[in-house]
Amino acid sequence: MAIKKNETVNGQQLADLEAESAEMLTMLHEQREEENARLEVPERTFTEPTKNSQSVRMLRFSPGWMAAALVIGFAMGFAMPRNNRSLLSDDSYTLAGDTLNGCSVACGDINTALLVSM
Amino acid sequence: MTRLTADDFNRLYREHARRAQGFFLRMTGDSMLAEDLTQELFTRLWEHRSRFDARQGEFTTWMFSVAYNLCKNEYRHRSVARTWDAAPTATEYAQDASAALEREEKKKLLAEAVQHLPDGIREVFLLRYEEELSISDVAQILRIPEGTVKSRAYTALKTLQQQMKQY
Repeated sequence: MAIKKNETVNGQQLADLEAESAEMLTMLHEQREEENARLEVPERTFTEPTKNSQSVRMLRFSPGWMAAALVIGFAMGFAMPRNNRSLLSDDSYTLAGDTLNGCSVACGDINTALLVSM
Repeated sequence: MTRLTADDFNRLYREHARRAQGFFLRMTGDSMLAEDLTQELFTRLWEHRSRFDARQGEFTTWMFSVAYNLCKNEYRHRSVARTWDAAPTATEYAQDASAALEREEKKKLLAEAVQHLPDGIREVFLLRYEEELSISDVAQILRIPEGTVKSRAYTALKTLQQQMKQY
């Protein structure tokens, strides 16, 4: 009998064919059992995360925490003495210099926060 | 919703990991990949255990849904090369078969024939007849209508019967 692609099959036709194929399906089950029995499955234990690891995760991935670190970083950058804050030249005071300083401090704060949290 | 505890999950791992690994092996034909995918599967199930509601379905249906998606991703991203050799012909097997080995040879031939079914048909066949899931579970896992599952299962059985008749 030719097999047509996407042939419409009712439940009874399938059930009849399954009954006809019983011996073949039994052999397949035996084969599957033998194959599964030969598999090496590693031992593994899953444990609930501790409260500490949950808080670390929150600290690491919280956008709120990152935003707060940036604001603190900028505030600290702008609050530094003027002669320390320009990265561009000794004497010039520019907004870019402030921004750079602010960013570098913010990055430092974020890094510190991440290190502390780990 | 009843939340799965670590103890529940460890029990489920012990009960189902071997079955999942066997499924991956038959889907990919690569034992190392099957082991990796099993570990990835249970890591994902563990991470998303809050989504599992025992009242809404069996753990196996959920497990095979995720397992099937992992297989699809493997096919998509790594273009898993099926390593099966060309199917030996029935005549080749018949030449070697002795009466004592006939059943073993038949099993080998059958396993090879299953591996050479077209992907969509093979997936249905493995879930329905090797994993012994219901038509509705298979439809849910593969996200296809139940009628399609029946039609593919029918095609698979007919194809295998024809191949075995040549033996």
